[in-house]
Amino acid sequence: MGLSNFKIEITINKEYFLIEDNCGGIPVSIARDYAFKFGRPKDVIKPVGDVGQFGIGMKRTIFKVGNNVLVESKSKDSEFKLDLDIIKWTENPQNWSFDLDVISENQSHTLNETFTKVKIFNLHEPISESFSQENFIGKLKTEIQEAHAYNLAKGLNIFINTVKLVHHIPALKSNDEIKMLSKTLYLHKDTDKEIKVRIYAGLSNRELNDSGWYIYCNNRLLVSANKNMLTGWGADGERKYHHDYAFFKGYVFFESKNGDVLPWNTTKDGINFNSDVYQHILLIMQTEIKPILSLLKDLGIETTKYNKDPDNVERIIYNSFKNLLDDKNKINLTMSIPEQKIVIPNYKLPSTRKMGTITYSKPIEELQEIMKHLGVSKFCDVGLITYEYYKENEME
Amino acid sequence: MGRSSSFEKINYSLRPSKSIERKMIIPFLYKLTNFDELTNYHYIGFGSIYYIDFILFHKNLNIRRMSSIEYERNESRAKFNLPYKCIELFSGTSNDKLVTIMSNDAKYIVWLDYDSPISDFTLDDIQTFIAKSTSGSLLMITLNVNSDDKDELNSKFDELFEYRKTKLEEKITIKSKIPQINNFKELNLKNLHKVYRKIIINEIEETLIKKNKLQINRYKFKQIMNFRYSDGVQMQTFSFLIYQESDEEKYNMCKFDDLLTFRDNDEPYEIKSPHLTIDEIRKLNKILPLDTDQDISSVGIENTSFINAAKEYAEVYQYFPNFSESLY
Repeated sequence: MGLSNFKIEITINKEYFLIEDNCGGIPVSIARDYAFKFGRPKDVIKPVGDVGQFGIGMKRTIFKVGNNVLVESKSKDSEFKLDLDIIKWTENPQNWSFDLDVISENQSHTLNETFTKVKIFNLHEPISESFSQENFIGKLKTEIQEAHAYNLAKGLNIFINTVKLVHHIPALKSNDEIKMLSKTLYLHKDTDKEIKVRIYAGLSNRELNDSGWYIYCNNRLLVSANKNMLTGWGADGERKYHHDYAFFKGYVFFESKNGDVLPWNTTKDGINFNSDVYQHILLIMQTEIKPILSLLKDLGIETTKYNKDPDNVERIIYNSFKNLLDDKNKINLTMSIPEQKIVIPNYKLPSTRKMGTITYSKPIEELQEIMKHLGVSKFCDVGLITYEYYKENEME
Repeated sequence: MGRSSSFEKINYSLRPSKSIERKMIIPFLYKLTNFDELTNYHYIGFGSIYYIDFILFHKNLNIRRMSSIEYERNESRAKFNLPYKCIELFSGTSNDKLVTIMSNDAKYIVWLDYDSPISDFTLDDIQTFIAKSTSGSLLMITLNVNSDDKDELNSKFDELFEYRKTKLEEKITIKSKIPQINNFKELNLKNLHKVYRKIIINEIEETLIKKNKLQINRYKFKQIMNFRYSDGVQMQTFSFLIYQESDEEKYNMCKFDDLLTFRDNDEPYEIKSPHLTIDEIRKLNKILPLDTDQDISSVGIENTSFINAAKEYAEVYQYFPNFSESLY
């Protein structure tokens, strides 16, 4: 199911920050007991497959941005409004929750009618300054594009100041000759800690900066184009990243209904390298891509050999690559992909002859004499022809 | 196959010590039946163009799933010489083919019969084996364990030591994987194999830790072979069995240590292949196996070199190769 019916619009300027969406709204019960309460009581049923863990992220952010917030939301069965003056609210230190202003429950709305709107105004001075900078907005766009690439690729519409964000579709090239890896596994299967892990790896067009590993947790991109020890390069006897590997891309998607069990760090913006889950998967990542890395290394060797001796070297690997990369079709990793192992073409690396160079000096009279004999006009031809003569007549 | 094809340098079937080693391995493999029928095992090796190990294991152990890895440049010859239908040939290097072949959740017997010294390449294959192996899988690694020698014969000890250290660092490029070496003797011809063994074991352990993450039924490994032999070049074969804790009983039932050639430490079993004439061999065979208090010299040829050879022969006669010129 795509997400193309859903829309998130963000407006940012020096006066206010506004985010609106039509993505189902916040039910009053969640707002009251969860979203607008500090910390999270243990017995609250959390939204499934979520990103937030500590229950202070959104509120803390609001506090950091401005002094007034207006929240409006309509969900399937309820709607509410919250109009908060934070300075006034903090005057009462006993008060740890917010009072919702308008509450109606037990209603019935269609999905199309639902929305959430959060407006923060009366911005803090430094925030207001940032919000008026074009570069800040630009950076925000890039970050959202990266972090939510997966959902953007699924069709979610995100706008920032009316500009629609474009997405980088996680995609790989694959055909019958060079097949990408597609592997799905379940950790702690059938428990409340179940994690679904999908690993895709293969080739895409040569992009030095974009090659490497991409790792997502619950569809949030945590690691992008990684080529260092974090994803197994140059560690454990494993190959160091080399520009020959610039065609390589790998993607790992960790998904769980229980965000606590995913291998991310506490701030949810990076991978927890030492977590058991990640270490377990890392070994699989390192092992399974070996055929592709060998192929890429050999492509490098083949190319070097070809450049030295173009008449003598057949570019078998290069031609397979060209077929694959010229093909406009990509495998979109947000779609379901059947399980498959890496397949690489059968090839022989061209054997090249080792060459030696001969230079020598001889008396010019002698040389001219022989040149006459042979009917040539260059000294070097004397060397070549006498060499050939010897080879033909004296060698077995 | 290692970096170069050794069959171009030497005829495999004429290496007597290697031949003895192969036959000495068979009783170890036979004991794997405690884990599973050998018909369920998948043998992966470097068959070269002779496939001697493949033929031996198929004939003697009835292993029926076999894969050979050989360089692309030898592909046509390797293909021509395939002795049985059940052997599948993979062209390429073990670094890229091993992971592809080991993808069936079978039990594996993998013989990485390199003719080269240890290298990053070796560790890469070990990592693959450990990552992909199932309980009851066996790894054998054969390496050239000669020390590196400088061309100048009379170089000083400390120079030679530094040279050998540098050479080792060229082979194993990740420094943390080279154990602490304090004494120059550790890199000598006599002891270098101990350093190699340590590097191999460290790699196995490091990979196993990752493999065991999230595993309740943990994997462990045991060294069961350590053969040292020379057919001109000093070689050594280390072998390790991987199994899960739940299979501990099966491992005990194998009783590998009943075999005289069993070695679980860094003291290898040294394979000797004595030089004897056919007449001498016939004479010796008649008194073999020796009774406990019997002396080999009772055969009655008074000659020191013969007695020495005869003693060696008494240890290996059951595995001794039969070479003679044949016309075909």
